[in-house]
Amino acid sequence: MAVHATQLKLKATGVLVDAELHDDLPLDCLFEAEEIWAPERVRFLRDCVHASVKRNELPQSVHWSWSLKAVSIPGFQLGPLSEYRLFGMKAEGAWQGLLIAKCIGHMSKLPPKPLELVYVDFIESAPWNWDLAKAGRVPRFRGTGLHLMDLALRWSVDLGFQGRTGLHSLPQAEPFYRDRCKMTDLGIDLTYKQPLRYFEFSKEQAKVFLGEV
Amino acid sequence: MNDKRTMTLNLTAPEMDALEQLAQKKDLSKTAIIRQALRFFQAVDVRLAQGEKLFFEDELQKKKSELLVL
Repeated sequence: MAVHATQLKLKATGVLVDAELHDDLPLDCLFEAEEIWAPERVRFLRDCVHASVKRNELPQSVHWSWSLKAVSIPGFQLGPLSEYRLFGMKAEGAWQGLLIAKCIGHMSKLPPKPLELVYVDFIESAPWNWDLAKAGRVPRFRGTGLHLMDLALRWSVDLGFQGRTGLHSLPQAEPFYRDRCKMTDLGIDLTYKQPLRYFEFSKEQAKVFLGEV
Repeated sequence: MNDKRTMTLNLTAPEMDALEQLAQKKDLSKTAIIRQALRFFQAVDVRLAQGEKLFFEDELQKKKSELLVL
């Protein structure tokens, strides 16, 4: 497991805080995160209820459970040859964001032909980093998503996939992938388990994202 | 990422041809093909050990056949 030192910006003050990027975490980290994130989800939902936030304005990942995602991993373990890899970002002693990706079972949809890629199964910021001003919720940190996507792309490069990376996006996250990550929007994927928009990094777009151009 | 070690791999000509064709087809290096094959084998092994089965399915012809892996 490699740990890379970096920094995260506090949204309120703009102050940079030391943070760690982890590119090969064991499954136990999902339980560690969930123990802290789950009560925060409850507090977040309570604030939303008290502020009369509409149901369709709630974060679309509000019901996620990372501990349940852990038990969906075949064999309940990750390892150097696992098809899955878990990435995380830690600051102030807590996980600020997590990403699970896999390298088997998904192929690129961009022309000219289907090729191996890294598929981002789930990515989420800690609930205290969610932005919902109406409920009095201001993110503590910004930028975890970009850092985590960077790790997924570097895994793709390490596997020889040249940065090719794809994912299905929740509707609220579409602007992030389209405008911030500059991924190609391939439209709603009606073959997926739910009709979600599919985004992909070509190897050229990956180079730009990684700052290699 | 993990440290890498070097090894010499002896392949027959047909095996090397197959590896080169796969590498070209998939736009991967030969090393990446072998590494990915290892991951794939491992993924299948883990799932079989859990009691899952591996199938090939032809939706058009409505054919489904189990692949037995030893």
